[in-house]
Amino acid sequence: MNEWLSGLQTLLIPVLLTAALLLLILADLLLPFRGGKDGSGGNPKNALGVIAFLQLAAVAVVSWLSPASGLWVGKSWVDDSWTVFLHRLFLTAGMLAVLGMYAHGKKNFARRQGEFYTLLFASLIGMTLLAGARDLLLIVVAFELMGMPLYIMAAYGKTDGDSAQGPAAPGLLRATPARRPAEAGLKLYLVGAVSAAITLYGVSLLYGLSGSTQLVDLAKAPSSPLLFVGVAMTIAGFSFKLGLAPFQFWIPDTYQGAPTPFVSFLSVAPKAAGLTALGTILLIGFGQRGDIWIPTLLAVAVVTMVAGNLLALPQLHLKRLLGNSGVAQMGTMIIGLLAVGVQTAHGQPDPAGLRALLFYFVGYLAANTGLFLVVEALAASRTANDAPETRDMIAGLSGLNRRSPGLALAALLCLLSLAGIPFVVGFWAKLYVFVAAWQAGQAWLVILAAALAVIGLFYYLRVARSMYLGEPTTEAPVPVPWSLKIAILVTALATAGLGLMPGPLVEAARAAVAGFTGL
Amino acid sequence: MPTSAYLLLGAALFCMGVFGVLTRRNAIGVLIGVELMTNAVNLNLIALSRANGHLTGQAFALFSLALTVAEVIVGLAIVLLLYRSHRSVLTDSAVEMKG
Repeated sequence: MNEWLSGLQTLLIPVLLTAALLLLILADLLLPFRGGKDGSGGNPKNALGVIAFLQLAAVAVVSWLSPASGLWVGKSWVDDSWTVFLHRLFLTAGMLAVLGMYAHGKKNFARRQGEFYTLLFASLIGMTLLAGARDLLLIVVAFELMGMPLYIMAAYGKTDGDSAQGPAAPGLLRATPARRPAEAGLKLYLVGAVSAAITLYGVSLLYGLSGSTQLVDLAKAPSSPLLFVGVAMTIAGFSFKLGLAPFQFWIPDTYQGAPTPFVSFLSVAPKAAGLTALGTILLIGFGQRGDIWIPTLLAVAVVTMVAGNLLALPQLHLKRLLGNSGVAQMGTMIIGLLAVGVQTAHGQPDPAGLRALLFYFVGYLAANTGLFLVVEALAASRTANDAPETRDMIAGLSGLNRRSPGLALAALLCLLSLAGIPFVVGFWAKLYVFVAAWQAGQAWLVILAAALAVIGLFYYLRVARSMYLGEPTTEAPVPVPWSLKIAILVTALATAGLGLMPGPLVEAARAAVAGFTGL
Repeated sequence: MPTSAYLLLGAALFCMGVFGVLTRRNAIGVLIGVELMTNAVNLNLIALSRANGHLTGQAFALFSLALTVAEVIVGLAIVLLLYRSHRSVLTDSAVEMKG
């Protein structure tokens, strides 16, 4: 019994999130749905967004107040400083997602807001479990817990049933859902389900060869072609989910069709969680045997960076551009992982790459989320008079500086950060990754990545040029809901602030990696 | 029977699943392909569990079954949504966004 209780205490953050999720379901049941079209007229369900945000904020405060205990739950989950850093990252991403979603949900699916936040919480529970998981079985289960709610959230669109007066039509077929979210959900789901099966197949081979599901025991697996197949399939399965080339084809379509505030969440937090999970499997399980996985991952990183940048180049649709450029960013993050892998395989583990990776996550969270939320603000402000073909397009941003200078400045900061211009946070993120890779002797990889970053500069600055030099179709300022305003302000401030003063974050990342158990 | 026989059967099942996923136009057919793939995984896990002489793999297989069930439920819900919005469950119908 005591063991049970101490286990729950170690798993404090996921347990608290589970409790919050149950409370949210209860609140959703108790609050009635009232109001008319677009959820106007004091719909009590709107309170759910506020409740969800406060709950996440409370859990985040608990997380900030409780330092890493270093305790294990069995031999499969550890509460070390690495886990704690990731918890805080995911909780921040969750809060930004709720802020971004609040106005959107209120307007587009007033009746089903509660479900959406519940799904978000479920996904966050999966992520927080994944952060500390050191067992293949737990990694697989937590990964699916993170992924399945995402499939459903991607398919959330506006339906006729929500905007009608009174209760929605009870029949399954009466309300016609929006086409694009359905398509986005289907694409994300099919990719997710197939990749889960591929990962599981790889993992089943790893288990069979090592005779244990614990990551530390994977090192015992005898070298054989089967082991190589197992590792390659695990990497392939994760590549699908993380959108690494050549499995990145679904990303632009899903980003285009899914609700934009959700995409701002999908594009950062689950990717960070997935990449760290892949990193823990490879580094803890096969750290000494880099020859099994480093060549595969190296090829994936190169192809991902090249494909992401080249595919983003011709895009005129903002969400597709950000999707493809996000693929390129993932490629850069993998370089950090490779740097650690190379050093560890040489017998001198140097966690500089992992530090760079954590720093990169934070910078990427601020910049990418901020930019997607600006896209959402513009989309939400559209009226029936706007030409439908400019929706979410770069052309739709034209002359934004003359309409809303603040919004344009926030978007500019985020764009500069993603492009890696000094002195915003993205510059340091790229620099630290490159330095780590250089020290690991991967000079050619750094040169390639830097050359590709120049291509990135071109398409990111094209968006900025449209905002500052383009002609606006109207002089009216963009109306931004207060919740979205806060979220954009926070991300823009973080992007600029961490760019001017990266020191505290570097220290935090250093402390987090120093406690990484198992390197 | 040697373990390798089970692993070969598992590999064959997995390949059939992949083939189904790649060739089926019907979203339900794709789901069945995924199902075949996860069944190959379960077969692998149980065979390897016996080869290793402990029950961890069998427990893993139970978890894998539960995951598959949850995944299929979500998948069917999404296919139903596709049917409602597109009046079709063919994956070819969901090609509005590309480029």
